[in-house]
Amino acid sequence: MKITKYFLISAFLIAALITSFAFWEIDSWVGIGITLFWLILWWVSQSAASNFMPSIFFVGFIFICLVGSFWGLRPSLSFLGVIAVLNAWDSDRFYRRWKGVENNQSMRNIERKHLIRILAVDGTAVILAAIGLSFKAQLNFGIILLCGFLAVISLSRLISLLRNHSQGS
Amino acid sequence: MTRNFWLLSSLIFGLIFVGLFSVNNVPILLALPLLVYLGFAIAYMPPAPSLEASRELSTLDSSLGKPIDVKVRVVNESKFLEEISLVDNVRGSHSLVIVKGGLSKRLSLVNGESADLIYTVAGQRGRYSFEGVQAQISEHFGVFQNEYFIPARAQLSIFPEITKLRSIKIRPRQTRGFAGPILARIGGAGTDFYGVREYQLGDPLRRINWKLSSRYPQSLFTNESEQERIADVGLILDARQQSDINSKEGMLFEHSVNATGSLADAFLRDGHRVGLYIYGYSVERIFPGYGKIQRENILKALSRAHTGVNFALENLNFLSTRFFPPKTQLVMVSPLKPEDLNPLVRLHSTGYELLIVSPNPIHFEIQKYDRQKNPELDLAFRLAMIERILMLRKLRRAGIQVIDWRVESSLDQVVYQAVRRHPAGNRILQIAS
Repeated sequence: MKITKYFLISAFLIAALITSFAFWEIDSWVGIGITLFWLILWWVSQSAASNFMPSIFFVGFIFICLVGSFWGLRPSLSFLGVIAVLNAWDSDRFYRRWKGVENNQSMRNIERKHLIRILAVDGTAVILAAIGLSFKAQLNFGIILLCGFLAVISLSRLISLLRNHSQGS
Repeated sequence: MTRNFWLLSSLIFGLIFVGLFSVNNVPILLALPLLVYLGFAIAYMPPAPSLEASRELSTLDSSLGKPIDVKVRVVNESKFLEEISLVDNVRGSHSLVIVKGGLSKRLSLVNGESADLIYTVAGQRGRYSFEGVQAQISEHFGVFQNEYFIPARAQLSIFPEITKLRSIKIRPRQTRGFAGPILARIGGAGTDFYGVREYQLGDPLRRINWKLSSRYPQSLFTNESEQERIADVGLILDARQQSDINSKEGMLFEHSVNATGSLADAFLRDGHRVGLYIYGYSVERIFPGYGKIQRENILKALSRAHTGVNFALENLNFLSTRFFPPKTQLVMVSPLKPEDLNPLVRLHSTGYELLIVSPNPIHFEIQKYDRQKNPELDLAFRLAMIERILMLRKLRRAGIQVIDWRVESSLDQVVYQAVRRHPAGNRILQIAS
């Protein structure tokens, strides 16, 4: 599990650096303190047996980035921070799931496949964000309401579809 | 779907709504990686698997403490499964100890590939059911997780500890028709002298008692031997919770079970027809039979025996004697309670020869306490012992053979000495004295 462990440490460091830098840009020492405190707490909780821990810290970090976006954080840095913390959350859970397994060639293959997939997620998200940010659209309140309504319907349909699928299997 | 799916969905929903209603594109931007992550998870969602499991045990019947190898093979007959976690299910009255290996495994399985769960267990007396394997299948992100149960059933019996006992000399009132080790109180072919009768045509000449015949010139007399036959033996195990004692050494019932198993083994080795009756939480019966298969049946029944409370069977008044043929030798293994006296005397008076092997509960329980520190406890112990001795004496006076067994001493020694000292043939003489 060496690859995952290194990836997890790198994700933590990147998330800490990017988000702290973003808060430093707006001279928010409180933001830097909270970010670092939160990530250190997450790091310390690695030894805790509870599987809830990574999710709690993940949600907390997203919340920090969300609040930061209203304080004026640079969107690209918040976005990269969220990507890094998503990687950390995923690697942490992956590491916890596979911790006791013997480290052989097949295990290394599984780790590699997982790593490739999470990097593919990162790449896709960056490309989509780049495309999205290059567009500029003026939307009035009615269209926003319609978009919101469509988002709710489509996501709830997706969830019910997935739920049926998992129950059916 | 797992908690992670709901967490991601909630975060995506939340961020999109915050973005839409605050007319700020950053929260929507922050939701994008999560949306992509969820999209990848959906794309690699685990398929409905087709898994087959088979189980191999090195033995289905084992003895106490002996290691048993278990191998469970799970074959994937479906598409590639990215992450599969296998956990074996074991159910039993007592816990099995994993000596080597583990009950769980996590791995990836391609089509046609198999995974083996190999472990070694050892355990206490009991009957253990292996039901099957619990499989948890998910993709690499762990967002979608489906659970399946793959049956792979097997049953394992761990027999009680059997002590090899010397041949036990019993004297039932009735024997069976086949040759065996018990003197049948009937003249015929045998080794022990039984009596003299008048010569009958066909008697071998070497059996003629010439000394006696010389006194009666007109007749001849023949020596007669006592026939040796097998008998019906009914073993009764007291499994009432009220008569059991728990101490740091374990349960007294375990000693009773081991003694019953050892007695069954000894009687079956002597060629007797042996049946078993477990009286306590319910009534469990093994019909009388001979040989190794019967031994196996009895040991299997003993392996699953446990104490329990049944108010209908809390005293021995409801001990059904119809299960055993009349005039059978009954051997009861019970710590005995004061109220058992009358039912046992009544049972004996109905024509059954009764031998009671009684693990001493007072000696067993006193081991928990330090008698030196507490003089009142010592007094209580002595009073309880007096009460027990009196009860055993009453049983002996009624013609019941009682063996008071302190469980720390060897059962073989105790039974051998008691049976030798108290030959059943002298029963009437003892009562008279």
